Amino acid sequence: MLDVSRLSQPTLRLVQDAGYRARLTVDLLQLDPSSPEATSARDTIDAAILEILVAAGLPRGPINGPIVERFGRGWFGRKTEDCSLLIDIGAFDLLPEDRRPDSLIRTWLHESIHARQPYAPGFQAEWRDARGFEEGVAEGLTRQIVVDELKLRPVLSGYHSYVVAYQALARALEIDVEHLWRQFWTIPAGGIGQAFTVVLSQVLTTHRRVSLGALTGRRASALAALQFANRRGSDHPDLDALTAAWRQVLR
Amino acid sequence: MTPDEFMGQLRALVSGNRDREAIDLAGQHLRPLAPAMTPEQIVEVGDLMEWADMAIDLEESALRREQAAPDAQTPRSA
Repeated sequence: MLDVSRLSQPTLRLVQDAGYRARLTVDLLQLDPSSPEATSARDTIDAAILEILVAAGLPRGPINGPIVERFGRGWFGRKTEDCSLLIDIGAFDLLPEDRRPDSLIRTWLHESIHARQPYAPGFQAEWRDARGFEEGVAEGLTRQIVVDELKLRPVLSGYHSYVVAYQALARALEIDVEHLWRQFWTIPAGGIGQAFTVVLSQVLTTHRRVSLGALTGRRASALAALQFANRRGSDHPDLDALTAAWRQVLR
Repeated sequence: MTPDEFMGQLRALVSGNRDREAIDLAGQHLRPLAPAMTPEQIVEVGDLMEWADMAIDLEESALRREQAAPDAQTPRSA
């Protein structure tokens, strides 16, 4: 839970003053990235993101950057294998002007959540098969902070199916989904799939539930691999149906 | 090409691990089509391109590791 009122004055201004947010976004997106105004805008936004994440109890780990440039590859932001945090200012030009500032904050925060730790060993395999394990956690926490707590209105992306998969699991377990996301956040990006049943068992123990048996754990792991598979990324999920599937596996 | 056709082709390429073709398709059509696309579609393209670029990075770093491994094991000539 994030106590917005305890944020510093510069961060509060960025969060609460839409005109200021828009001005910084214009400085960043329209000026030469090496200009003093663009550099100042980058540093102001990054400092605010860092403070918000610390206040939320989800601090960012070490990164190279943030590197804010025109990469021209179609993505808005990325965390690379060597922990560079990249923001493509050119991509935001494609959005309606009034949606750019909040979407910029959303992307910056989402990528910073990926950057909580260096990638897990073997993250390549999870990325190729089931990147939804990580994207669902990063986007779920991002929406919780940016939309629910800071009250911003970014354009929300196609990670919806993975966010809903975690919501369905939390409903089946009768626990708060934020608690679930925070438990998975402790695992480095690319390692959640492998740690899935261990973390799930810890969550059940915390909530004084019966721990996962070996068979139930295997079934839960198999269902998770399906729900967080890459090919599910553009699905339109049915929360009730997914919840029912989890209940069946976990009973 | 319509935005829906573009999105369909892009999703198919990325889910089929045809990442370079996906990057090329987006490079060719994203900017011209963007005015006719919804903001949500544009952001979804961003997600798909992030995945495609990461997959290309991983493929290239695996290739570099493969190339480096035999070199390290090659005995020095006498």
